[in-house]
Amino acid sequence: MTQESRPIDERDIQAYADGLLDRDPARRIEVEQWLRSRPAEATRCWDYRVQNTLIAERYAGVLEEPVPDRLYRALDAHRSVFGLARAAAFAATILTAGAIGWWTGVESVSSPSPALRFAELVSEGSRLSQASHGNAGVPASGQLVGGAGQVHPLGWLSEQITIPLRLPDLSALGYMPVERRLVGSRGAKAVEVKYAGVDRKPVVLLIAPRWQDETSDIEIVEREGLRIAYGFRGPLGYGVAGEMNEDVIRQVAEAVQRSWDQSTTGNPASAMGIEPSGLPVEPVQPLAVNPRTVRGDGTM
Amino acid sequence: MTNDIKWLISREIPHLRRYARALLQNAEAADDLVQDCLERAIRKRHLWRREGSIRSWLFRILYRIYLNDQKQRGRSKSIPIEEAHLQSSLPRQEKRIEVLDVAEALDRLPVEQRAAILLVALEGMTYDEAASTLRIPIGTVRSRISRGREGLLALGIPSPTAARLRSVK
Repeated sequence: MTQESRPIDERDIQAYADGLLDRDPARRIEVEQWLRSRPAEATRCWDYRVQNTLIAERYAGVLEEPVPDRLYRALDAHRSVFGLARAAAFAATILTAGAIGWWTGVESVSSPSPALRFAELVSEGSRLSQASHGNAGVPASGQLVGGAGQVHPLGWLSEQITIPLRLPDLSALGYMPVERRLVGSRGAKAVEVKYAGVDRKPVVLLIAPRWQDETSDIEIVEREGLRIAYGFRGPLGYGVAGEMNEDVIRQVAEAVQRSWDQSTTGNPASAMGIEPSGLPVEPVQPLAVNPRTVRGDGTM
Repeated sequence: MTNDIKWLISREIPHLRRYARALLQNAEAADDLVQDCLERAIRKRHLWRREGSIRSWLFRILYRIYLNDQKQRGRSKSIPIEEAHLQSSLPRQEKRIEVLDVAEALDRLPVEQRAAILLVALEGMTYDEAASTLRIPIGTVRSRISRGREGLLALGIPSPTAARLRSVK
């Protein structure tokens, strides 16, 4: 009694061409016998095998090249690539944790180890963002968002501190704002502004209203490759984060402060600057913000 | 555990570089892609489940980064289908793209076909490994490889001379 041979089909031809029947010699022999009586199919199959050989030969040398050190360093550095998406995620995570109080002044500025706590939150936010955010929050273009019908983040913030507010101008450092949105939950809300720059790592600025007047020096912490500078400027708490060295993150933080300080000796109504023309402060709308439902463009 | 994962990932770096080089046709850009892949792999190492192949996982990360980069740059170098069909309908000796190097020909395939062919022909993956890497059904892998191969034939790969020489060898 003989076992009826299974018909040869395209899958067998492809697998034969790719050498994937080597672990099934009986089937391989069947295919070879089948091809012997079909010259056209045999030629096609042969061409496929030659293609594979040509491809393998074309790139064989790459395996023998020395691997650049930077690739091994990528494994050792344990640093995080603080891309725009990750940068965007950390603020939302901080707020989700309900822990913004100390930062915005509900708790005392002199709370124990605020820097450490902030770093831990950012670190946790980064870790969570890897797992859940992906590219969420990355703007499709470099345009500011917040059109008609949407909650205007700066409008909301200006309303909170009763002072018109403008975006910090970081153009002197090569950064341009690409997105801003309102993030937060359970009464702890903040404005998140993303800045991108040519040949520069992006930075994210988080601004939250607070109910204290004092100012503070810039504090800088580092955690897993992220550098975070933060401080308090009257009714505002702010933090900037990015994957950059201490000097650069300090420059960014100082530029943020300067943008707000420049007019503090002038008209109190413009103590925080005036919204630039074309970007008027929009009326505040009721908020019910949950960072898990806030899309990258600030809408919900 | 981290050191074990690093060691396993390190062993794949030459292959990731080769695959990236074949995808991008540019050594520097390929190493940038691999670096992004490695950094992401280290960051996301907690997501790798040991029941899966670390090779498939790494190549999957690399391919997804590559696709995202391509989308952002709006790059599309695939050969028009009509052109491929036209060429495939001509007798072999009349094909006008006889002089294409295999790398150039690959670069003119749709990216999904190129990616599938390279995983199998270059990296020696089985179809189910390639399917896992690309996150597509195995039948789709076969289909993409088959269409890619026909595309290469249409582009004159292998040339009749090369095919003849290979048969003599």
